[in-house]
Amino acid sequence: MNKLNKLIIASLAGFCFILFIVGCKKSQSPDEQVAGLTPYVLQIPNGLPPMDIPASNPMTEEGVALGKQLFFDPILSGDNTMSCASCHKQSFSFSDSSVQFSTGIDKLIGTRNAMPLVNLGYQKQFFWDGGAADLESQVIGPIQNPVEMHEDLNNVLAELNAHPTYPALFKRVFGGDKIGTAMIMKAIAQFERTLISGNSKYDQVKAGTASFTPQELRGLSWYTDMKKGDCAHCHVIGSTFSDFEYRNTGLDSIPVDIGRGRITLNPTDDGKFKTPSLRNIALTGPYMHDGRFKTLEECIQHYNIGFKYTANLDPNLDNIKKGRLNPADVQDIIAFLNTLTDTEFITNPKFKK
Amino acid sequence: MNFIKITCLAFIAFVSLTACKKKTTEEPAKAIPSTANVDLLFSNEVDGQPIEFGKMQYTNAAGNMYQIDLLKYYVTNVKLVRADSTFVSLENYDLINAADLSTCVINGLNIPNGTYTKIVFNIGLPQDRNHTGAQDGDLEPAKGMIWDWNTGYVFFKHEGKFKNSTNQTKSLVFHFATDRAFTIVEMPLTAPLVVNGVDKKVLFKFNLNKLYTTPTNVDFNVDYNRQSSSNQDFPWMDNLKLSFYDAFILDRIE
Repeated sequence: MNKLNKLIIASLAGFCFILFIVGCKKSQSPDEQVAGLTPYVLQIPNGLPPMDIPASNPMTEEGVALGKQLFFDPILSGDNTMSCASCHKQSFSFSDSSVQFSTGIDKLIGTRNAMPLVNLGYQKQFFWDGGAADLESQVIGPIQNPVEMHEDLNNVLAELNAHPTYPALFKRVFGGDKIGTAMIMKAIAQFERTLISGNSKYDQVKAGTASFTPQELRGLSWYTDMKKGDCAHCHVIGSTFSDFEYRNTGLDSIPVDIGRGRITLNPTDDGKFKTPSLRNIALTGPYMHDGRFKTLEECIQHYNIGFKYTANLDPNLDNIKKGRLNPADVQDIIAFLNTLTDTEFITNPKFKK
Repeated sequence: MNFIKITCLAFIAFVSLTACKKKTTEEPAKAIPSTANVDLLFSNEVDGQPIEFGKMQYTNAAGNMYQIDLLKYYVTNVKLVRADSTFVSLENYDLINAADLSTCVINGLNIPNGTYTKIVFNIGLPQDRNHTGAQDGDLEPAKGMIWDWNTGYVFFKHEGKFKNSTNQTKSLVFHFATDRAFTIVEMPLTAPLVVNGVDKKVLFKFNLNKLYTTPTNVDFNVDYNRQSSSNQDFPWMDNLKLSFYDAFILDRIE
């Protein structure tokens, strides 16, 4: 009797144990991370803040490697001739050499200058008008754009799912049996978040391992002087060199491209574009959303004398005197901007194909 | 002593069995199951006519002849609401494609027994789900319902053609999108949905023509290309929001 009781208790206990183990297991959704991946540890240079990584896309070594492979793979374009890297070249801080507008697979050109890809993890919205609400969502823009890679997502998925090696790589990183668009978006975003620049001469001066020339130092003082360059209002000094807000900088009296207004559908945002980071700015010309200025000198002269008094003009420009910088001041500011070039970033083998 | 142990373990087993259930029953019934599946079916039509794609055979209230080449919309976050305002939420994100009947049904699994007097659902995506494309299922970007230049889903699409006032065939494009377009539809059930352990079907009709009658009849000669892409589309969008209330009717419950 006693033995029987023990047997019953033991069986019940075992049964309960199994129930506890299996009871709450959810079926794994394809975008859940598979265990056994190596977390990717971001190396944030001194002088840059910690980077917020979205909980829905934790970075792994395997995910970053997959994203890098996709970034350089023309399989994502309509005729398999063009990759992300075609217009985002490392030697130009991942912008497109010195062309005003990049050429897509159908030999069509766009209307906006390819943006550099640097320190993207500090931004919340992407494209010149901030139309992409997160870095992941940005990924499908150029892939589908008729003037860029001009590809249908269903074709991309069919090609990747039929590929000899990609299905296993995706499965390892994201689980699931079929490659979905979300996985492509997440992988490329993971790679792009590793594109961190923080070892320019400016950073070295901050770290005490280099020093500014007198001209660079004068340039820095004009940069921050609210009656001279007044650059720092928007291109905030240090770390990201932008507050990433949207502004109308008076490029045209009547904007040809309404920019942010196309996203918010609010006419008071017409002609506004995202303030870009100035890191590696010497490498990323031509300048402005439409690449209208070939040189930094033209840019600075725009803010000095060229800007137009248009509706929605940024209040800082509306209130500042024109012609406040003389040609020597402009050259000083350019000398300072040149200290934001990070040669380690543009030669880093980790970012090469 | 052993009896107590066995009782305790039996209790733990019971708890283990029931612990992970999302929805608990109000009155545990003995003989019949405490839940049942409720399917919501959407029958898309134009004033009672079934939808045939690519045929110039429909007439809107303004008297414009038109055809339908594409008709898709998101029905999300279906709630089955009881008389006391408590509800069961399906937490679904379903894309209804009128061209594919398999998409025109939303499965409500394991709905607790009870009497439901109202069904509430969204046309479109709530803000917290509308601003990233890195999503699966019916939100997969390859489904072609997301804008890649201004992250957000198109909640409703009707594309086709119409005969204009000079009898020319012109393109018809209605894309209803952005957070402003987010619409909550409440469907009071005159005959309540009683779930009592037996699977049920709730059949809705969606009458496309009703989208073009509120508050005044939409003349396709004037409004034929609305894509929620500027503030000039706002009046059209605000009217469409209201008209969704009229477009859905409860057909029957089986």
